[in-house]
Amino acid sequence: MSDDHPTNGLDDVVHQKHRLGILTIAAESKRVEFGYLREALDLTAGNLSRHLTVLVDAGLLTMEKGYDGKRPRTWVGITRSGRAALHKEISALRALVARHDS
Amino acid sequence: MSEASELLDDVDALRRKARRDGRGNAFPLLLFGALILVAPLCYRENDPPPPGKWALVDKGPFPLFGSGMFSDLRYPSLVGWYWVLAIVVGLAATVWWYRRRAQQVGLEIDTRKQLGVVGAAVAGFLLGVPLLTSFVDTPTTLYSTPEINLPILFGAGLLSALVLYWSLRPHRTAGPRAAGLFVGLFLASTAFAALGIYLRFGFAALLVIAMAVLTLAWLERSLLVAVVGIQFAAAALLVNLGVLASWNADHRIVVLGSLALPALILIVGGVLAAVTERAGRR
Repeated sequence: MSDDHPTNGLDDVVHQKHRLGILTIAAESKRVEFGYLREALDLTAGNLSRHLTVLVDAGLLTMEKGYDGKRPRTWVGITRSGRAALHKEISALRALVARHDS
Repeated sequence: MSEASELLDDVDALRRKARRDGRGNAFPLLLFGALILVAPLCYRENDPPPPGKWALVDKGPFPLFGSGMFSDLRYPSLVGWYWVLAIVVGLAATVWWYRRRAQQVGLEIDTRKQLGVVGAAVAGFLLGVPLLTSFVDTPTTLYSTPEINLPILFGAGLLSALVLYWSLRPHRTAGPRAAGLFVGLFLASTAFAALGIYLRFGFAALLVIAMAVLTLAWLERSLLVAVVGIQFAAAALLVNLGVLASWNADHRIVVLGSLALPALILIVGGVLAAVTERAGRR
């Protein structure tokens, strides 16, 4: 496999269906709520928490906890690094598909 | 390899869903439409001066957001302040609306870009026009020297678009991004200032609202708002060129005649957006 093979552009942190989904939704918004992500990605709260922790630890997301009245809410926002990582991952996936199709 | 295709399909589906759920454009369209429809009430005519007396012409605090071709308004300052406050209140209410909506839907779109573009337009029209007129030396005026003003207008506009595009690329780091945004918005203000030179009818606020609607279409990736925004921008341009007005009636009727079309475009667009949003929730 040569150095410029598209798979070299794939990032282990991002190259996972649900984490890619979280970043995609976060990139379309200023902030997104935990419950919205859980429903959109059809994940359990525990699974979503684990993916979010990985992405926050990698500096790709920020997390903000607060209250709406008495109801606790967790909001997630994407960082500049997160946008760059998502952009790179999508480009690598497209290159991979294009290489396969050609 | 099919895994890559599947991932891309999933990403596309999630992106479409997030964009659809983030849309809440009916409220800002209806609000700005209503604010435009109310504006004619401010254009009350002054009583004619007694025979043999002259009345001073007051153009109000913001000539481009003011009395325009009318020289006999009773409250020219009210007209200027109405338009400035309509923009400020309209934008503040839009930000409030998207925050309130985010609490219900769980997703909030980023309206900061809209504030940046509208800020550049307001700064260009209110501050840029006098600055440009005083800095650029012409044999007569900038209005009568398009060979000087048009290159400034189109040059600054094009450069602004390129610099802003460059700044907003996802991989751009914080420092160059901030510098690019500053330069891009400054160039955008300069382009608006050069455009303001040609706006003689006092309805520049409509063009600011047009920028707000077009930016909203971009933020929401909404075809409906884009179509509404383009139609509204065209109508706003016609009003600013004096095409829609007939000047032989009560000022409030004249202004209503001019503003009815742009206001109607926003209101019809808002109603369509509300119907689409409601259908999407079912």
